[in-house]
Amino acid sequence: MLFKKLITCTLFLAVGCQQAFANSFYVGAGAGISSINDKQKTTTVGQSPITHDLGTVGAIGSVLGGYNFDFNNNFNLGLEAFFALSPKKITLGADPPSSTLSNRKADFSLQYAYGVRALPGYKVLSNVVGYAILGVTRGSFSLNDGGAYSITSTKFGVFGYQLGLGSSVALMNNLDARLDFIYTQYANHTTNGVSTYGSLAGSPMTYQDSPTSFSTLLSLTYKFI
Amino acid sequence: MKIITKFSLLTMLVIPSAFANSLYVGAGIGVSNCADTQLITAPSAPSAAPTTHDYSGLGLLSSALAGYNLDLPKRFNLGLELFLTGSNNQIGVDDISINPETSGQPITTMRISQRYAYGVRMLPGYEIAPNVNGHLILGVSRGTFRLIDNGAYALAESEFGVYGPQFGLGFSVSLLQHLDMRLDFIYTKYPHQHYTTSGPLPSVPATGSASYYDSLSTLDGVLSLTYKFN
Repeated sequence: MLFKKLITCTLFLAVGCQQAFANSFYVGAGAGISSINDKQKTTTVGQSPITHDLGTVGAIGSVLGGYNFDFNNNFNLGLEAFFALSPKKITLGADPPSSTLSNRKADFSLQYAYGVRALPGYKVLSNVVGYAILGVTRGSFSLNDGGAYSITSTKFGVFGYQLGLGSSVALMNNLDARLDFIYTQYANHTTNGVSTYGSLAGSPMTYQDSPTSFSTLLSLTYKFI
Repeated sequence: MKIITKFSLLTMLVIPSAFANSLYVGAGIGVSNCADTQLITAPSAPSAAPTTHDYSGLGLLSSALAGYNLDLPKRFNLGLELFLTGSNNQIGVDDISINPETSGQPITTMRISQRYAYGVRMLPGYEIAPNVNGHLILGVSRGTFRLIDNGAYALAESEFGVYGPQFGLGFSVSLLQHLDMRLDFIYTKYPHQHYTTSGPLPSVPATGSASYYDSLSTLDGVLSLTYKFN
């Protein structure tokens, strides 16, 4: 009798505490704030390299879909694919117009990124999971320069890795809220140009971009359980 | 009924509902991104300025806080706290040298460093699940920054403090009766700062003053532990 009551009570608490971290597919969407940074080195023949720590902060939106494995010992593992949009542009340089260059402005942007990541997690409470984020991403970037350094317009994609930390709270049986911090380091990329800068005009030059980003994302995920 | 009551009491001890009125102190670590849209003007060098750059970079931060949490009806609550944050973030430009083969100009740098910030904030919150509290962050921060330019654009050294509003989002999880874990992200936007220096502009053959207009912001992700005196 006592045992029966305890079981009933435990079941009641389990439903009340939304213990919802079982094996399941999930989909989600999120929004947040992201910085996109670029350590840019410009090298022109006849001049020492110049390095700028460039970047800006803007809004980010993201969608994701994945599968969560529950290992029944408080550990779990999420595997997911994601797609993120971050439309903010970085002004690399904006200089006064010259007689031949009317728009001496350079900008750099991360247009979108996609990839896969693993989320090894630990159930800190019955309805709360803390997890690490380990991922691989491919970012699509654009670099446009109307004459700040050279006249260049290019788009390129580079791979990168993701590291982060997050926590997920079961709000309802099928609905989780997630808060993630994600750092992404992309591979270097070199773009060639011809200098438009002062006495160096006409000399070959290169832009070497080393982009990173730091995103804070609040997401809602729906689980198919 | 007796058993359920006993079990409930036991549950309350083991899984403490810990968002009651209480003083708390805490400490945290995290990542901070400092961004600066910088405009430099130099009336005596119209071919080189004004020039604009969006600077940004990541660093580490550590934070200490103390506050009081008011438990309100219907699962709402309100935290009021003081904070102090230190950061090692530095952004800027390095290694500008103007044709060293001919002019012999030294390597030069311009650095803006985020040093520390302190302020007050309130955290209107809601207990979104048992032992989990979600909160907004609304605050005022005074950030201290340092600008040093040894000739990248001009010769300048300035340390300045500036107030800015703070917005954010976070949640806290009650791990033990007196111990919470908090995960916050906080965006702080500081108003424009203006600094004028006199002296030569090494990058162009000109003299006169140069002005720096800095529009700074920080984006912090912080993981904290707080101890509650309840």
